[in-house]
Amino acid sequence: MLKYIVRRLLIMLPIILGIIFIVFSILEFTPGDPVSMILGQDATPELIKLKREELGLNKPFLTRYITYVLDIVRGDFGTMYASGNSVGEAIARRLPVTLELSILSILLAVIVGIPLGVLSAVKQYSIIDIFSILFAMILSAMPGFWLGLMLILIFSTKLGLFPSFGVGDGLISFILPCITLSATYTAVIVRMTRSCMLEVINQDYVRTARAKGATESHIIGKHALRNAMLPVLTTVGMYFGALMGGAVIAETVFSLPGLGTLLVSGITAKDTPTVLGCVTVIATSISLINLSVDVAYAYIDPRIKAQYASMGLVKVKVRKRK
Amino acid sequence: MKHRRHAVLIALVLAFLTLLTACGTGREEPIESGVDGESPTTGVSSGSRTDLIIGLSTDILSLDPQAGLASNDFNVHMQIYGNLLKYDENGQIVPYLADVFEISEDELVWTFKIKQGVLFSNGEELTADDAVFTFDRLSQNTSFAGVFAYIAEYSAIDEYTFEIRLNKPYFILKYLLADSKYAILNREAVESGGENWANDPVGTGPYKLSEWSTGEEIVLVRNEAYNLSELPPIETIHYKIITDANTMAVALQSGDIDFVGGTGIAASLVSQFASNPDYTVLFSANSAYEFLNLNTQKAPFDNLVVRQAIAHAIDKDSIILMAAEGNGVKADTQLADGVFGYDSTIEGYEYNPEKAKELLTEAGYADGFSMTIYTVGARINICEIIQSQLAEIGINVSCEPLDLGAFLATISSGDYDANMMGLGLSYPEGESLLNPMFESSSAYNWCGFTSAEIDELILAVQSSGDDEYRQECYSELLTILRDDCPQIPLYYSMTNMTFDSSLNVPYVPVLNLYRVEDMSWKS
Repeated sequence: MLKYIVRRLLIMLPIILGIIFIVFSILEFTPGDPVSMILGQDATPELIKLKREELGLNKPFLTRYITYVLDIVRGDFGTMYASGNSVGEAIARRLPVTLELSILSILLAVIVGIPLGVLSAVKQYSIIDIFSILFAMILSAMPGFWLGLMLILIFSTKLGLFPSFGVGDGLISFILPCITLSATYTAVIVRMTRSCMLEVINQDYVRTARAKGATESHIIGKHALRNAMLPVLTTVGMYFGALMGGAVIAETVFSLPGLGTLLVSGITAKDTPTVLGCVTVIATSISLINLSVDVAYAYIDPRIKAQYASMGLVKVKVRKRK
Repeated sequence: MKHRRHAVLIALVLAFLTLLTACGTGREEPIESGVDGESPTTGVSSGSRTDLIIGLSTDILSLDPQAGLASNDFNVHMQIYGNLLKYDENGQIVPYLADVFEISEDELVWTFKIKQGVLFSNGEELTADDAVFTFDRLSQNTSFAGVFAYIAEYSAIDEYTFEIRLNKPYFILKYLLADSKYAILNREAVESGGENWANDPVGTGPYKLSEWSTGEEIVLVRNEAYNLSELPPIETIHYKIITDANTMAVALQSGDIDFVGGTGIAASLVSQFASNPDYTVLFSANSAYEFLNLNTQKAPFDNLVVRQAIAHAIDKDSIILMAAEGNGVKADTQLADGVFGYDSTIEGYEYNPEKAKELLTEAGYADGFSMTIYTVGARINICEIIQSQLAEIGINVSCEPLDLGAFLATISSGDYDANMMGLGLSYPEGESLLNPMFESSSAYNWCGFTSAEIDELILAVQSSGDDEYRQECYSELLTILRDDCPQIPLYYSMTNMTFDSSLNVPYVPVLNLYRVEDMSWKS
């Protein structure tokens, strides 16, 4: 397994470098000059030139790109153009918030979605099934921005149960934002779990297990669920990426100091160090989560473990029958 | 068997949810809903409150006053730092850290006698040397290079006398000295603090920093060493950062915050507070100006008659009503009441679509033409109204919103027909807008309008201390701008300060730069 992990980590490096190059090019070649925005109304052509020199923006494209990459490798994310504040510090402060938000949202979606999906598959066409599908459709149709504000209005203003903004109250502050963010994903999990379970339940080996006399809950819990979980696990990887990006909406509505809002403000100000720093960190997080998902596959599904083994990446113990 | 399994599952889910809610109750005080129109209280009578919770729409960049860029930065810096001069409650410039402030006969030597015995929050006494240090630091910052071009030298004549020598008269300096970017820093504190001195800022203001959780909250506490005047009644200020305008309104409604300043509550949301006696809304309409610029270097806008035709086709009242929910004051000229230079006798072009069509025909465009208006952000709404108004006289407008960076780049290339934008005033004098918008070499001259006469008049108002003469110059400026019509003034948007009615806010500050030391809770 270690060999597999190391190989995946090595592949990550050129991917991240490529991402940095693409984003850097986009920032460079789209219109908009950070210096004019910093100097504002007092800008004159001479001042603009002075400021550009001060920030090192007069150097050629490739020079700046290479300098930047070398700095990142050393762990130096640079400073923001407007304030001179350290980008690395800002990211370090905000990353935990976004990570917590994303991970808790996925957990919430999984905890609510999987049982619901299983139930509706087992009791296909019953009231529970219809309710689950309806629930899933409504959730996925709600725009995040609207849902967030509605939750604030109901649970914060009217009922006073939750704070309307900020992370000051610990875990409580994350409840409403997590509900907002996980809405779409919960819908996906419910439907995916349901359809995977349905597929599995009708398989021959399930019929065999029933014939052998296994209890229904044993069949569902041990055999069916395990097989149905694979596609769901895939979506965890995909959605983690979507959540890290989509966290911007929840962060804005609930005023959470996360990476998403930092990224957006960096883009608006065309602050290259901020944008590149955030993108690098987000890309790395997503890659690492996807790696974890792939490793988890091997433990859940022996067939996949065998696949890795055949590629020489994993050692599999074979018990010899005596 | 099945039922038990399901029961367990359901119980687990319920337990998880209860766990989340039980994990720390989070709220120390009960929040009463403000929905019934009742004043949200914290369970403590207003008279004994000594803290103030202010909603801030963006986080500040830095606690270094010289790095301040936006009004939120200035608002916070103003509570911590002090300047040589300040605006009083009537918006007039008066000495603050200086006892006496004199300008010499030749208008080139500015002398400040600094009050003796004023203490910084670290216990150090304020002296002229601190002013010298502050100016040293400003002069090394490229953002201030434009101003320092006017300054020949500055020095401490003695321990409490600070002198600035200009190389030509520049009266705008008096406004700048009251601006929080020019706040006096303590040499000791900044030099010994190194690069991160701003994490523990030292100022002469009534408050000092207690805590700054970036992106979340800034807490200021009363500076007990403050001796410029009485200690302020409010002892703690919590600036809560709420980035979304809707959430800000909700937070004020539910009592999570007490006060919103700066630009205030968004125009579309402020009416619920204005009609509610538990909240006070103070409007002012002289700090944010919206306008439509025409590119006088490009046909057909190089033709005065075409520009005048467009001016007659615009119905400003409708724009104010539809785009700003009525929260705006129509602008006949570039300046509003409350901005020095305002002249109420100068009239704008009245809304007259027939006359507009006549003028267009006269100019040879009886069939109209097409044009593109560039704009930034939410102003697209205003643009669309203009689009329909110009359609009535046969001009086909397409509106293009850009982000600020792209907008600046496009306009500076000169390749545009028109743009619709807004600018804020840095100080309550016409030059603050007219200089960047119409001076020939300004980067913010977005109408391509160059006129030696205008440049001369702008220079005149910058270098004269005579109010009467300056007003004459402004009247002339505004008349030229009206006659030549490179820009169609639209309106001044109303900014507001909205707050809990139990808070006593004695005056509407100039440029929305409030001082918390003058506020108190009513008992």
